[in-house]
Amino acid sequence: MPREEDPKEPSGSPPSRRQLLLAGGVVSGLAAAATSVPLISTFVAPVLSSAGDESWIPVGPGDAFGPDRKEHTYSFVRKEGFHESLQVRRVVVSRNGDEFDVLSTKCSHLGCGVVWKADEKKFFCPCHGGEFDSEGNPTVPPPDKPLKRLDARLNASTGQLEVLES
Amino acid sequence: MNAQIGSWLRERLGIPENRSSEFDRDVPPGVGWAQTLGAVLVALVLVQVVTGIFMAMYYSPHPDGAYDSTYYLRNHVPGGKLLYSLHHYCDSALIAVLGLHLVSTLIRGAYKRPRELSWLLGIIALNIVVIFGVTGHLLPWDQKGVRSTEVRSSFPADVPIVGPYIKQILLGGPDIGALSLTRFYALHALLLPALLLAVVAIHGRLALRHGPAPATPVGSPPERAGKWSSVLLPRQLIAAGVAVLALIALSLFKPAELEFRYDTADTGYKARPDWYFLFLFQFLNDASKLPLKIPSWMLALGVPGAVMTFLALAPWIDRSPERKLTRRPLILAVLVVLGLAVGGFTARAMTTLHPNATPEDSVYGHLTKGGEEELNPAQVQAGKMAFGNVKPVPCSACHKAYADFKVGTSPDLSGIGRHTLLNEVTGHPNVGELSFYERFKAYVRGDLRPKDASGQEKSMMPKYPVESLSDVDLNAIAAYLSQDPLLLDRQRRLGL
Repeated sequence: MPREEDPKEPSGSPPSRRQLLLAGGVVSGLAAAATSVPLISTFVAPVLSSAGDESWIPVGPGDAFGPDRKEHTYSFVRKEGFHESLQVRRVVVSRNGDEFDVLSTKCSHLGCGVVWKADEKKFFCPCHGGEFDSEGNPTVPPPDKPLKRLDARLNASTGQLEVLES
Repeated sequence: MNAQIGSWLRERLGIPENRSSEFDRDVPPGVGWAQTLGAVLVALVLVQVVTGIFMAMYYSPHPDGAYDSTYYLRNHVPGGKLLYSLHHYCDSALIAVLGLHLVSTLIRGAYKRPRELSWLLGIIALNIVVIFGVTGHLLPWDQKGVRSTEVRSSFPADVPIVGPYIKQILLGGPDIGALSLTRFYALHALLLPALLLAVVAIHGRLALRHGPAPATPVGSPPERAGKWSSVLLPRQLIAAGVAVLALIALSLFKPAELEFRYDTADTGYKARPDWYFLFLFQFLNDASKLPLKIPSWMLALGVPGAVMTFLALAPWIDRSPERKLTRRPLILAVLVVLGLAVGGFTARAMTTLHPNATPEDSVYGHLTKGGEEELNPAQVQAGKMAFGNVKPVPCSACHKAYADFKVGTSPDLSGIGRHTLLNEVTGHPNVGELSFYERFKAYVRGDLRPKDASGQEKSMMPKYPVESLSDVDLNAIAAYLSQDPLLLDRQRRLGL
């Protein structure tokens, strides 16, 4: 089917076709840029809003721990955006006087849960067979970094061991 | 009448009257079943789109709803198990057939001029399908899904400087949680389908436009062996139909598993990827034990990235007109090396796989026909009684369980019927051959106890021979300890 052709393009009359097209491009470009603002900000929001909400979480009575390392589980409620979720954490704790040593059981390799073997005085990771000594230093690869030490304190008024959780 | 409707439509759709169908195109000699893989892939993508939409009707992307809604679809909705299994197996089939399609295209030299863009779009589709798998894995919120996502998100997290930010943007927060689920769900169910359908549409359009590649070098005069509609189309329909029917049969014969609800309390659970990532898993695991100090993230992101980049650029790296594989030594070498590496590492990973407790193999599975039935409430109740009453020493004297028994100082046994029990026990010659139920029973009876270096049993737990604890009571205790502690906890908070 033949297309109907304009016999003569009106040209040169202000504003020219070129200027009109440019204006159209600018306007639609602005619209696209403006739309992308909420897209980008919501997408990267986790990075913008996650900084600096640390708090001290009670783990258990300080008297429950002694010089020998002991596995201990505690839980706390953390708010993730709209959702309050129960976080369950396993740590291995030893106490010397008022000094607490709290090691995370999250493997420094890829984050699996390591198991404290009290009789062999070592940590073992079931995922990839990594091991750590009783101080949490890596002894058998793949892990090449020590286990994380949590900041810990004894709350004098409650007698509770507390750790800093973010 | 038909002709009238046809011409009415053509005018309205702006299609010229005399245009012939793409399927009237001539195809070169040697075209056969190898050229049906693209059609199989189109069928699989359509099955995924349709099954995915219907699964979404039952899915709730929230940590309190994801597992329960998936479990409900799989175990309670009529046909839900077939739908769930088909979606699961279709993902595996997509990866496998995409791999075959890619290898076949490489062998035939079908990526050469003028099909370079088709090839590039195919590589993009492969990457989209992999991301589909990675995002879809998390959605059921079971042990396998959450734990493998934990491991995967550790790779970008270890990249210097930007790593933690990348991880947070991917997961929607510092750790896997409610915001990860909504993010993964939006990607898996909205963004990726749109991208994949667009890529498949253009790739398919180009495949129709160019037709199957001939076996002769680029630039040779075309030969014809028949029309697409008579040579290739019937084979494509048969191959696609057989593939989908086979997946339905597999789904009915061996329904895809939903593992236990994500629970960190199972400390023996080993995160393992799906079969198509096993080679990468084993490669990284082996590489990490070498004295070379290359960080895992560099290998995990760098090696697949390098292979993908090479594949994407293959038409521009291998620019000779030759299509015979033996005259393309570089491509031949890459194919052989990749084939040996993927095959070898996968085979090695299969031999070192250590089974986790799943609804199929676990104490829970033993009592519920492999997770296909619910726990018997009367048996659970009897188990609770026995837990607090068995002679000579009740379990509850030392062990905690759920909210019912709270005094003991020995390990909390809530939900251990769902745990990867006694995997590391020494002192039994073949613990790996025992089912988790047999391990549990042997442990309680006293036949399977860990020993220290001098051969002394380390456990101080009394032994319960059949005279003091009947098999009925032992099974009842097993049922009691197979309840889902997280579900009971939630029901308690709701006052149920």
